[in-house]
Amino acid sequence: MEQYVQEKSLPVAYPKEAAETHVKRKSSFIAALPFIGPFLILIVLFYLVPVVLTIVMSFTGMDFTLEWKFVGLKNYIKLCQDKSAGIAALNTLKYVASTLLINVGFGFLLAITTTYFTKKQNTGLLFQTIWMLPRMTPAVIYALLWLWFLDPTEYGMLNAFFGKLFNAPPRDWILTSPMPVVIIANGLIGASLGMVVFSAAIKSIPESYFHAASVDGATDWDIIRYVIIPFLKWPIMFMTIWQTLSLLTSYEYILLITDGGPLNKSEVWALYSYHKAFGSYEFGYGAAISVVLVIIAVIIALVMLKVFGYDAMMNRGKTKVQG
Amino acid sequence: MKKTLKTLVVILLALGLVLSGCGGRPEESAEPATAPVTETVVFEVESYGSPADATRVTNLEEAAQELNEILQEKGDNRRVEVKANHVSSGYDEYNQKFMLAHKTGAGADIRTISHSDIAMMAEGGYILELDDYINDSEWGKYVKDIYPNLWDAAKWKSKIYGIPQDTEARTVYFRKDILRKLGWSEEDISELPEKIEKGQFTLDDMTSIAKEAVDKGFAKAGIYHRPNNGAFFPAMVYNFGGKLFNQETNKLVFDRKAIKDTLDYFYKLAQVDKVLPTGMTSMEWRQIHQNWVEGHVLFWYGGTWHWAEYQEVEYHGELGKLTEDYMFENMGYALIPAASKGGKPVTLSQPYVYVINSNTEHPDLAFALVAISSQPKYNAKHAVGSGHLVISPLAAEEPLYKENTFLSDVQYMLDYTKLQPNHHEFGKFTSALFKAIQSVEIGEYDPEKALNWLEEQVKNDIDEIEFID
Repeated sequence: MEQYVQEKSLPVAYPKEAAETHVKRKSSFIAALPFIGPFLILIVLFYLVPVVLTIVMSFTGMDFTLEWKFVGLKNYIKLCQDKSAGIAALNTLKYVASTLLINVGFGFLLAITTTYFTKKQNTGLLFQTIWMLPRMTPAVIYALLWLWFLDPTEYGMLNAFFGKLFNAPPRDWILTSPMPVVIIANGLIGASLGMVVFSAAIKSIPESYFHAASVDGATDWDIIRYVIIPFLKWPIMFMTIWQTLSLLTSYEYILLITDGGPLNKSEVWALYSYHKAFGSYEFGYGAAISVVLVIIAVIIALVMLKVFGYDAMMNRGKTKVQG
Repeated sequence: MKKTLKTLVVILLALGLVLSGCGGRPEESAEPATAPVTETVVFEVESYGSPADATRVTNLEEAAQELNEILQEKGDNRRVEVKANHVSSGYDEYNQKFMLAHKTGAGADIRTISHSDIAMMAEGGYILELDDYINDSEWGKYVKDIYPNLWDAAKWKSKIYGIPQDTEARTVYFRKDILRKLGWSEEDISELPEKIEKGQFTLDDMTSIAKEAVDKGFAKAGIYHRPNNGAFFPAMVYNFGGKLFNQETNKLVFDRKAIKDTLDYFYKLAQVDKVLPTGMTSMEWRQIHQNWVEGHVLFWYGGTWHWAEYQEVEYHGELGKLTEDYMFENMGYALIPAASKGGKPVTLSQPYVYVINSNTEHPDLAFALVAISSQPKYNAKHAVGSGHLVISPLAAEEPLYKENTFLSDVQYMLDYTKLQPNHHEFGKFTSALFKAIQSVEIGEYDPEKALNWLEEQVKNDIDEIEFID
């Protein structure tokens, strides 16, 4: 850290050396350009430009004519008065929080089960592959399977199961519990990514830590609590931020399974934007809804990075070198 | 080095000469120098519908041959070639793709769309106004015979923007086998469509029989309707005397009383008499069709096109595709019964129309192609193959069509048919109406509350709408 402070003060004390450092940095940037250039172009083209376009579009009344008719803040004023937007915001909160719990929590559980408790590597891999199947299935097929599984008649798989076992009458799962259905459907897919990341992280923990803990008489729970979880702090941080941001913007499975219904009960913010833009051809209004989402996502990302101590993680290597 | 370069240049030149010789067109050089040079005009055409509706584009392919013969006779050196694409899923995406392509100066030259999108497409400048072609061109004679009410469906602000391609009617199908179990005689069953036409058999009668069938265990459900937003629901608003559009002001109409009556009807079906599954709006299409063809449901609010679909798609667990004989034996069809005794029954048609891209480079030929494909022989072929109704009285006289018992039987329904308004915001209205109906069926709202919710939604979403009581 001291060295870092010294480096910062160099330009004032030694202008010649500072100029040399500047040239050095510039040449190293040029050297790095071929490597980061393609990714920079992709980020500008597919992230930055769409965001700028969306922001500009949000100040227009673009409709089915696809014309840029500027209307000032009209869309944002409408958004403030839109009761359905309020419902969508609340639904998003419930959806993201609950699904995140499954994605990270259940993903972690799967990783522990298939990596730590399952001693045979092949068996663990087999279970992991099975859990990856939904992720490898096209979204439409996956949604269709859920629709068949939850069909409200006695022919629906779940209803048939309860009917056979408990003689229960058929139930309209999707209409009576739309939010739990979309949370579970999304959670089962999201958990597999967490499982892969956490499994890899668990495998990278040196074996000696587990042996030492066992010698000290640690139980499995102790090992998870005091060895595995501390080692998984950064993967957990990554997965939490990553999944939060992707859940905020995800809507495809909800669109296909409940379409936000019934009565907006499973309508999340991103889906509301989609419905307004592509269902009602209110592209300007839909863009305004999206802009709010972008702002919220940036704020959440910054807060999470602060909470998890992102700076500490990035400085870890530097501290080691200095030490 | 120089030598190598020289050799390389010589090789490249020689290769170029050989290749240019291979690439020549012998047929062109063989032609006499005086032969007229023909210009090939390639039209991209696209249509939407079930696989059985593919004749919407294949008819254009056949018509292109006929058009080319006419052009040759006339000494016109242009020849038409058709690149066809038929889409069977995602109607909204089908339109969006075209709209975006249009903005880049592209998009299919000829398309079929629902007439209810005419307003949006015309107002957005996506499609051509066709009055001059119909009235003044030599090809207008091919479309003069089309039914007047279908022309009305193709208009926006009194101008014609589409050529009707087909039409249909929404019907109530009933299971004859279940009615027999309920003690109906063959005569009673065969008289049912007529009783409905005369207003002697109403929606309430239909509900009562459905309830009886369910209570006695002859049917698992009394009534089914479509599971998602569609033209059936506005048809029911019409049935309760509702008005949906004010032609004088060109605004949509929110008819509180008729909409309340419509909501009452669906609430009663699902929550009071329990003849309609409360989860109707979450059911899968395939499951609905299967339950219907297997005889588990007494009444099904379907459409004429389903008659062809059941013979094309294997919905029945044991029988697979149904034969028409089986269908005549076990299924009947009628208009949607009137809401009150002595009232007029109703149906709703949503004609498909051919529209021409405003970017197309040869609009006269595009119109000619559409006009020729509208001739009775093509139209009857499409109608019979897809379970739709023809667009003109002459097409209705085509032997192929006349021989089709089902289509001949349902042709009279066009006398009772109504259309949805051609207004660019009507889609928002039907979408909200569907949600309100869904809310009463699942028991989330009572009809009064659903009406208030709907009114609030509509006020928020639609700019051009009037409210009447």
